Amino acid sequence: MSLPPSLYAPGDSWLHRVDPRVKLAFAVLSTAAWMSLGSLPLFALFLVLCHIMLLSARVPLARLGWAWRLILPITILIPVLWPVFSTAADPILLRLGPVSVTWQDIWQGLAMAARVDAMAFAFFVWLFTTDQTDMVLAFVKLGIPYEWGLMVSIALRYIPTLYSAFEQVMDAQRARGLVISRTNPVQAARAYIPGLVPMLILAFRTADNLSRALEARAFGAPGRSRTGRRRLRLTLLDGLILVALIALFGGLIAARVRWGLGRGPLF
Amino acid sequence: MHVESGEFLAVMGPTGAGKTTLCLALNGLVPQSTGGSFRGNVWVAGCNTKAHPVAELATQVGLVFQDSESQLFNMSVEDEVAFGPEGLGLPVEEIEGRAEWALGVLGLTELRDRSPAHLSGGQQRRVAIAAVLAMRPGILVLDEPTAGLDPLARLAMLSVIGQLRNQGTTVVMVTQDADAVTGLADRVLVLDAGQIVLEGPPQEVFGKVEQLHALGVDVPQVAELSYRLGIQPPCLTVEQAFQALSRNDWRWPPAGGLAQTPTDQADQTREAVISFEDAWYRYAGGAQALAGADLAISPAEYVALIGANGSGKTTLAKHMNGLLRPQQGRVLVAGFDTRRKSAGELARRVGYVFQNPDHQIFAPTVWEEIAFGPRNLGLDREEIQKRVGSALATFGLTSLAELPPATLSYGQRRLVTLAAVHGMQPQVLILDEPSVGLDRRLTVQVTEWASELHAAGAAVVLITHDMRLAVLASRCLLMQAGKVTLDTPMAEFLSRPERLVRAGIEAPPIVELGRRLGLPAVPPTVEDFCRALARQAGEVDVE
Repeated sequence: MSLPPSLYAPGDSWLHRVDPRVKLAFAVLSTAAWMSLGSLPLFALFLVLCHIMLLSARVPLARLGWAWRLILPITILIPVLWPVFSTAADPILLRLGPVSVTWQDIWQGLAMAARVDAMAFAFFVWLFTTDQTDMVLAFVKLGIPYEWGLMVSIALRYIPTLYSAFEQVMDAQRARGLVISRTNPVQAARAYIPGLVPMLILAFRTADNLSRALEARAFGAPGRSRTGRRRLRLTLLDGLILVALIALFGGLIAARVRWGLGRGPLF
Repeated sequence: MHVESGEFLAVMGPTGAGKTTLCLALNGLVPQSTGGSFRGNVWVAGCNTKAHPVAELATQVGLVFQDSESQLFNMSVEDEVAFGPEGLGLPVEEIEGRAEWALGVLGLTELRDRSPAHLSGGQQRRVAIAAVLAMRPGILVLDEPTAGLDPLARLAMLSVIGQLRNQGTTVVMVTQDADAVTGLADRVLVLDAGQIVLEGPPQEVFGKVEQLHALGVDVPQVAELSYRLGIQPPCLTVEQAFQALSRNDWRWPPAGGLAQTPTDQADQTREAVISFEDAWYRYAGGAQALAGADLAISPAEYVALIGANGSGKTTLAKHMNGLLRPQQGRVLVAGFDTRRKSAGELARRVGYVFQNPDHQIFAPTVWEEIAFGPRNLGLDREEIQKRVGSALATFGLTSLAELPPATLSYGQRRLVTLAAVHGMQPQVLILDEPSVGLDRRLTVQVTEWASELHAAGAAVVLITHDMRLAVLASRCLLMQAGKVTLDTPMAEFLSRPERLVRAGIEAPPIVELGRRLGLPAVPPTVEDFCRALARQAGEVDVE
């Protein structure tokens, strides 16, 4: 699986123009709501909504495909493993040795997987449509020191870079006869050592070079306060969206507490 | 050493001579960030680099690192260029004015909204320079600005640097690219083992060909020719050499003698060791990298694979050892369809030398690093011992066998990766841009090793932009837009210079000189030039 050179999909859509703080609020508030709810239909609805938002912002389909491939393993693993750890007392549907599977387990497993996907996509909406500078600005506005904000955004910037370096490392080792076992997981895991060691060294080298490059660009020059060339301004629309988000997700949480909405996987 | 204001100083020297350390010392990163022991003083525009923080010196000295990846950390070119001035706390209008100016100087205005990570190598280097230039430093320090660029990007880079020079910027440029120095530098400084061993105007320094070659430093091709033919005073430019040679001002035989012309031993009658049959490949979400490639490489053939960046050279090469598999058509390696063999299995036949040694070095000792490949091939202990021993000896690494390879110098790390391939005794050797980042001595070591394997019966595939290396091959494949558009003997390729231009490849300066002198066969190397010249002049002992 190849990774795009950066998570951000450049554009000038309505979603790109929404204030980064509002988009962060979308991710955080929805995550909070999905933590307290467990309803499969609601998660599905939310995922559809996220896709509509991303597509209307002209985020390329390939990027969405990439996101799905990223969360696919966990999306499959949760429902498969759910019956193993559940203790539901429903009528038993199927027995596999010591594991008994019930309808409850199946729906619950699917709901848990959908919850993880929903939370992931809430953040993908933010990551795919917010450029790094805006992210840092948003963090700074929220009271986080500029250096920390820069650190987070640089980390995001370098994830794809390190990933593509990892692919190059694995290519180089395969060219030296490394075969990754498809049948023996222990051997397969060991085969990754020649891939991971160069990555670790590379990551340290990159970090070292990066810190020098930052200094060479007058980062942290004494007695100077940094100019923010770009400013964030909450527009009326941003404000309205924020109020709507608080009402929607706050309402969902309140409904869960008060009336038990979305308590089970199917309602 | 001293650098005058407005001067252009070129710094040359073998790999590991201390060139990058010198750059880092100019803005105080050595010793402030690197630590280590540091004696003496560096004064930059009246400031002692020990007394002023790097971030403050950065306004005086603009340092552009060799590695683009780690110095471009913003999401757009414009943000990247504005980052420095923002840190200086300048007013917004001033920042925007400076960014605009720097983008204009480097020809990046059109790319301002693009992400630096998506740009080509040449564009990334230019962004890095613009980002430093926007801080309006009086002194610009460039660490290997042309290394690894394709010929067109290199020319664009040199023209930008020339422009900055003409605007009166003080420039210190570290480089291995001797031909880039001649038109730009006022003065050349040669470092070896951390000391200045030669210093003077290019004309003077490049006159000392023997000394430079002994150090492992390249000289401009014309300077080498002028030395070989005993032209006095030594010349640097095609024009000077043309004048001297037109006056018949040269001597025979050339200094250092002439090597035998290598004989082509490719056996076209045997079954091909690698063959492509209408192979197509497209990267996920990317361009069509192979568009119906057809070719066959015979055992013991020496092939140069050339073409502009993005023409599909590396994609083609990665099909030769199964790292990539064609989505349509097929590729056979030693008779095996690559779709039915993993890259790990094909490694028995095909050795691939990658550019970056740090993408593979992982073992705790050099010995173990070299043994990794033979072990993967399932060889017995005795055979592994034998192969590692011979690989160590071939590259003069025997005394380093027990050291951790990651701590060796860059040049030594490259040698370790070559030794690792050597230990696998491949039938086919693929070299991906082997000269990038290497000095003359190491480049010669790589090419001589390849020639030895070739003489022992291996096929060699050499991917390169550098025509001085490409001429080692007897056959030339030109890639354009995912296809092999030209497949001819090397001599024939070189005789048609317009093809070089079309392929985005710069002919070596000597080709231009040969054409101006009306030599019958266009000579790509200094040796061939000497022969052609002597033949024309009727010297008897040419062959």
